[in-house]
Formats: sequence, C-alpha cells, structure tokens
Amino acid sequence: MSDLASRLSDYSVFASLAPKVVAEVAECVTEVRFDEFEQVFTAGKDADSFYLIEQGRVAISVQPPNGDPVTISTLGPGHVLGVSWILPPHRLTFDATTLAPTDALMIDARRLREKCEHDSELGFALYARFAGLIRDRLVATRLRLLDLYGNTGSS
Amino acid sequence: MTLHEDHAVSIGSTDGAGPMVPVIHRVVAATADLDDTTTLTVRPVDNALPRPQPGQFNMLWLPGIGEVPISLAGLDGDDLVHTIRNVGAVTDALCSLQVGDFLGVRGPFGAGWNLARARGRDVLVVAGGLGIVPLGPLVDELISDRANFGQVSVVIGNRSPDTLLYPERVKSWAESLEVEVTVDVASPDWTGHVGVVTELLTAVNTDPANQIAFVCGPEVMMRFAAEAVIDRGTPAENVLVSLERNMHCAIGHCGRCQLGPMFICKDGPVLPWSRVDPVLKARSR
Repeated sequence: MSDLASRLSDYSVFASLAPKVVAEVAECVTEVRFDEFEQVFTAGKDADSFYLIEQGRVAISVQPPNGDPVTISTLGPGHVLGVSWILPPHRLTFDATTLAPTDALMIDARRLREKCEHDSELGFALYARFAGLIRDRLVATRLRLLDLYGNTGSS
Repeated sequence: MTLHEDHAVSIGSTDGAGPMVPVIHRVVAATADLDDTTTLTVRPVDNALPRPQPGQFNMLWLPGIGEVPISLAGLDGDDLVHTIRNVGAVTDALCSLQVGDFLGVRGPFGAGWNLARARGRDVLVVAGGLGIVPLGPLVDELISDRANFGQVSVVIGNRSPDTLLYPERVKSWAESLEVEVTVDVASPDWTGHVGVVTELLTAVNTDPANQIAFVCGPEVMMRFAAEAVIDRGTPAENVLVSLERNMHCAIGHCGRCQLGPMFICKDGPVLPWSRVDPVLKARSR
C-alpha cells in the first residue's frame, strides 16, 4: 500500500476498503495547506472538492444577513470536510474557514464522481461510506437539538 | 429554615451515629459557579465522615426542607466539596447557604469510579454538562498518580463556553493531560470545538482496546458516548457510567432508585455499561 493510500485508510470513510478502491481515490488527491482564518470554501459554490483534515481545525459556519458568522460545528484531524460533493446538485451548503493552520488532503471530487460513473464497485463503496458519515452527522445534530445540558438535574 | 449550631447538634449527629443520621457540617466556602450552580465547601463540626471516593455521593440535608443526593466534587482535607445545580426547593435552599451556615451530611454512599481498575491502562474521561462534577475528583487523582496510567484523555461537552464549570481547573488539567472541550453553541470569539462529544472520540489518542472509559452526563449523552467508545473497540465492561436516580435512603432499603435488579444508590451510581445497557434497553421496550 502506498503512503498516500495508507493515509487515506486512516479515515473511517476509506478504512478497510478494497486496495483497488483506495488506489482510485488516491489518484484524485492533492496535499494542501491553509493559514489560520483562511476560507476553504463558500456556501453556494460547486462542491468540486472535499478534504481530509490531517492537522488543524476548520469551522463550518453560516453567515446571517446581519451579524457575525455562526459556527455550526468544527472539524479536526481525522474528520472529513465536505459531503455535498457526492449528492446532486453537488452544491456547497455552508462556509468553511480554518481556525488554525490546517493541513489536509484535497480530493478532486469532479474527477472522483466521473470515476464512480464508470466503476460501480467504487461508486457503491463511496456512497455507502458517505451515507454512514451523513448518518453520524444527522445523529450528532439531533443530539444537539435535545439541548442535553440545559437542565440535567442536581449533581 | 436555617440550621443554627446549637439546635443543629441536637437534631443531627456530630460523630457519625449511623448511615441514616446526618452529621452536621458548617459551610466554609460558597462560590457561585454559574447563575444556577453553586459550589459549597463544608467542614464537619466535630468528627468527619469516612473519606469518600471519587464517584460516590452524599445526602445533603436541610431540616424542614429536605434531603438530596449530591456527588462529591472534591476533597480538601476533611472538607467536602459539593457542586449543586438549583433545580428545586432543596437545591434552591442549598445554593442559598452562606459561609457559617450549617447543614446535615450523610455518606459517603454507593460505588465510586474504581480507579484501581485503570492502573497500567489508558484512560478516557468523557464528561457532559454537569457530569464534570463527579469526574472532577477522578481527574485530580489521575494527575496526582499520573505515572501509573498510560495515555489519559479528557473530553468535555458543554452547552456553551460561558456555562463551562470549573474553567480554571480544566485549564490546569490541560497542562498534564490531553483535554478537549466542545460546545453545542459557540460564541463569536470561541475558537475551540463545536459539536457533540461523540464527534471528538475519533481524535483522542487513547488505545480503545486497552482503555477504561469513565463517562458521566445526561443519560442520553452517556448512551451515545458509551456506544461510540464500544464501537471503537473498548469492551462494554470497561466503559463505566454514573447514573442519576432519585435516591432517598441511599442504602438500598427504600427502592426509590431501583433500576431493574439494581439499586443505584448501593450498586451504583457508577456501573459498567455491560450491566446498564440491557436494563435500559428492556425499560425502553
């Protein structure tokens, strides 16, 4: 397994996938670095890439019409930044800004989607893994809706 | 009703007359941590109660008002430290106590965190909201006995940055341990994590197969945290949670805190997830 494939396999979305599948993804990777408070992507733009964070921290936020951006969640090492690339209309939903210098593997999503169109094994594997990731984020969002720490009784 | 020293001694005990008789303590420090949360440091008027272990609880009593179970938040010699959230009549009265006031204390009760099980292993501490209170003395012990444990990681989930309990204590923990704090709602100046605690568990440096996890917080949060830890490879018997129930007698007689075959006051409040999970699942069916 190449070094890049090994690094991809550290992420749950690619862990334990067939080496052939991981190798296909590895062909779409570019290593990138962002400074602190640098915009990674902007809501409304085409989701033509996504990122695997190796170091640093990124805020996912939304910009209200008046006022400061509201941070919805943060992502760090081991997390995947961007899931809109896999689902039509492939459009980014939120802003992403680094909170610290950040190293990441950028995946060319346009190229990866084309590969998926022609390779059903690759496409199925990635859809299944990203569906799991989207499920995990849905669960986390629902937990936060419960406002668990608002009234937890006496200690 | 305020308890004064003369009649406090006459209706309580100063020498530990048995588990049902409160021992009179005097408030020596009262700190408002948050709008609705106060930490009391209480000192025995005469003889001290047996030394509590992290994870155990005491029953705090105010005559004419009532008695509530409160986890140990810390120890300072013979002084007991309790952090109390104001959620009802008794806790409201407790949070209103001033330095010099008296209260009755019974305890310590229940099974604590059993830190001895974690010696030689990695330790993962997961606290949610007020769950940091019973975990605080455990983390203090981990630091004071640091050489006997492997990687120690503390993950704290909270509603917002300004409602985090013990911010200075947490900062001091971070000097010797891996400590991550995440909040549900961030203020504009917050550059830390935003999200639920389970999302941070993939990033901690403990070895899931060789760790003991100590988890405390709202029950729903504990369920998801325990399942996330187990999914990463930690056996369910190595995931310890602290349950909260309406303890009354605190010695397993009255049954108020019964959960399936267990009395949480006596068998718990700290229990392995392997014992808790089947009971909670059966209850929810």
